[in-house]
Amino acid sequence: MRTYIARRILLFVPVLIGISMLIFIFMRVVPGDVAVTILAGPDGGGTIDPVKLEQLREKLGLRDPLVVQYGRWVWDLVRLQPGNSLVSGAPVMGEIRLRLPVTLELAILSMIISLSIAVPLGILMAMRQDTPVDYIARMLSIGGLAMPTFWSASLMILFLSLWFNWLPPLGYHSFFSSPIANLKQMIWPALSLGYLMAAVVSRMIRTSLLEVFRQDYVRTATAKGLSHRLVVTRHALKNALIPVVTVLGVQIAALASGSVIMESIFSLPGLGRSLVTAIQYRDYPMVQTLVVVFAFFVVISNLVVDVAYAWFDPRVHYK
Amino acid sequence: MFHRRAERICLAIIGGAILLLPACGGGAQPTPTSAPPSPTATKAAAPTATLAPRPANTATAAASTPTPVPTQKPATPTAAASTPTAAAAGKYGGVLSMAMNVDPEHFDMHLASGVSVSMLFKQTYNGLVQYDDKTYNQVLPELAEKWEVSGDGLVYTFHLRQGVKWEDGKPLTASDAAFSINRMAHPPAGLSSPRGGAVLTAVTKAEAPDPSTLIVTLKNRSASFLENLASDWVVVEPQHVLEAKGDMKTTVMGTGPFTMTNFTRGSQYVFKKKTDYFVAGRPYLDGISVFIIPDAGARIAALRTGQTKMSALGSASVVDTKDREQLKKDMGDKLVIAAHSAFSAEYVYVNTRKAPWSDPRIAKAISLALDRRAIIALSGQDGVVAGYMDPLTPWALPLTETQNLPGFRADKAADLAEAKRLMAETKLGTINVTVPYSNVFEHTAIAAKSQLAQIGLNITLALQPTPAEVSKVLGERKFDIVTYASSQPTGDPDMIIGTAFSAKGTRNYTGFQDAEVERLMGLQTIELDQAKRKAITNQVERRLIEVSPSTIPVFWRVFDRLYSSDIRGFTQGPGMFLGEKFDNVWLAQ
Repeated sequence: MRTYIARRILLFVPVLIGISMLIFIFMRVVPGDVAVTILAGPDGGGTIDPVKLEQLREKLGLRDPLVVQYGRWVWDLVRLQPGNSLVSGAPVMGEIRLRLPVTLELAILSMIISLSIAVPLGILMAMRQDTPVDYIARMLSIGGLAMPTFWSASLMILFLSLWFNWLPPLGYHSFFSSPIANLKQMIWPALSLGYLMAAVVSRMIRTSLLEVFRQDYVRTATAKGLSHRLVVTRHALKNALIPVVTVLGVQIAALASGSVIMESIFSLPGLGRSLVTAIQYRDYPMVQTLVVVFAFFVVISNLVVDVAYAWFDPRVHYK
Repeated sequence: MFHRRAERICLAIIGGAILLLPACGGGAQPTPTSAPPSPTATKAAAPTATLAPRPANTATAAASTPTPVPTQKPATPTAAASTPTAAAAGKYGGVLSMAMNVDPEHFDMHLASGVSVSMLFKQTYNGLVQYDDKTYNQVLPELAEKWEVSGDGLVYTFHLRQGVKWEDGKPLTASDAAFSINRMAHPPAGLSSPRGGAVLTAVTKAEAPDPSTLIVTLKNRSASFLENLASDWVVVEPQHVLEAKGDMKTTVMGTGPFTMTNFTRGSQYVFKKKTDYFVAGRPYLDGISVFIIPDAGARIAALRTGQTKMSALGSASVVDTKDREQLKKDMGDKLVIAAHSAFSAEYVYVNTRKAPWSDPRIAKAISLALDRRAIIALSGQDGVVAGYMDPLTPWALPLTETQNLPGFRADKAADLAEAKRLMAETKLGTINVTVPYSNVFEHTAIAAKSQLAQIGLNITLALQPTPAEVSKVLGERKFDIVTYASSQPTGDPDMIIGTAFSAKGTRNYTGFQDAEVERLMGLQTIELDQAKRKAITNQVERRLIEVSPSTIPVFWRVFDRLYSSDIRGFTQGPGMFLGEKFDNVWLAQ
């Protein structure tokens, strides 16, 4: 097992290199020029003097051969100093240090909420299959799948302000400095995202539990005289959770895109939003570094998921 | 069959979760009908916009807005204005909370053009002169106490106020002012300042013969120079910091009434009042908190709940008409809506340097065929159909005249027939053309496609990846037709008409040239008598109407500033870059 984990960690390197090359090429191929955006301003209102444009391109190092630019960026990244934003002049690392905790906290809270809704709901749906409880729960979960997160988030803000004349506090409060204010801000986006994820996960749990219930060993366990609680928790649940863990792994990647929308609507200074702004500006160092950061987390979480398989299912052996 | 207890436990967890979560969401006050505190006591001081009411697009004689003649602007200030201790009319204290939709791209006022930069850092810097922030029709001293103009109008000598200090304690000298003006008018290599091509085009150089005298030399006499200097954008930045760091993109240090104490990109920018500001007794506010709220619905909700008292200018304040009406209903007297011009219009640019567009009949036909009112309706925003000058400025022709012109009037039948006739005369048949546009102004492009199809233009729309790309396309001057908008920092004829219609104007993308317009513009730019200048500007506008140039105005944009009635001492000015310094603003509670 340990060798397996070590090998997987070594595999990080080619994966991240591949992604870094992909995003570098992609950003250079996409039309739109960061020098133009810097000169014309974000609203595009400025006039552009071709001479100044060339001077700016030179200064930003955009006239160097692509290989040189790529090499420079990767070398900076390895030393954990990925340069400065082309637009604001502020260091990219500083941005990441500030914004990463926000996105991470949103992701963790969403997962906690989603699991705490999905697991009991899924078990309930499976145990009370085809009863009114099951139908209602399934309707709730389809609702979660059907509602776009930006819609439910905007509705949330609208109703909070209209009915309760209340809004989450403005200006981000970090969890460590003022936990109550922080939770007041984070609970709503986490609820939106968590509801969506819970919809997916609860249906997954239901389906796989139902399948497990049909297995012979569950019938044996029941016949043995075990209480139903023990049958579910000791025998059925662990096996049912295997496909669910797969889905969770995929959901973590989806959290990245979900966080962009939530951060925009609830005004949270997270990585997702700064990535979108950087893309609009074609701020190359920022976009490239942020994509690599996201990729890194996705790769790590997939490793955790794969290792979790081995814990859930003793039949799985990694060499 | 299955264990009921497990099921009950699951139900309890879910039920508990659903019930508990809103509770940890924070205190809710379910009294939406609670009446606001009685406004009668404070009504007397409620702000009123000094601009004419929002003009309608149907200019019957009754609805036309009076076009006031600009009052004589003094070239030298009266003695009373030189001592800056204004009478204290406001209450001290309170923090003004404001919402903005995007972060400033950086902090250097000389190099930026986005309104998010000026809204923030106008609070921390001063210019040489400023607009009167109540009436917006005179230029008052700021860092310069008094000034003289040479007989030929080419040399301005400013005498700077003594005793002004930077935040680090060093004194402000004329050398700082000269350095700033030169930096903006003629930026060093590698830097680019939008001021050079706009408000400071006339400047040759600025010098500081001694620490309290600044001498600015102009290329030509300019009636608009002092007003351009009063623009929010023209500020003095510290020379010693600029020389040490190269730019002030990440540093803020000014002489203004507020200082930025901390900021979190993407979240908020916090300003605190300076206790030793050179205007005694100012500012009234203890501080300003600016929150970055990207979502329009969230900004409206913040206004409604009172978490923010105003939104920043520009896109942060763009509110759908339905939302505005709802907000008016919900907030009643607590909301002030001030309509103001943005010195901005949407245009269709026809490049006369390329065949077949050099034929003036095509541009004329396009102007006749465009249904401007339909475009405004499509945009969902406020707009005014008018001529070639911003109708909310004193320089424009009256709406009764411009709104009934061919092409601009409501009845399109005769105009469309005339447009078709002109196109038939050119014998060009159906012309295929690609039109680049930006998604921000897509309504004009989309409407133009169907409207101009009627006169034989087969348009293929080309969406550009960013709005800045359209600027680049215009700048290269190789396009056929482009739809875009143009906004100016001031409402001066030099800005709005000069940059677009003079042969050497920086925004003359279409190559339009007319000898009569050149002659008249040359006359108005040096005419210091305001009434005479307005008459000449009207002549220019009439001449433009006559020749129907290749830069075709579609409509003039009107913005609404929404803010709480708790804000006093604030009068919304025209445009987005005038008078946004909050040193005279106070909060009623």
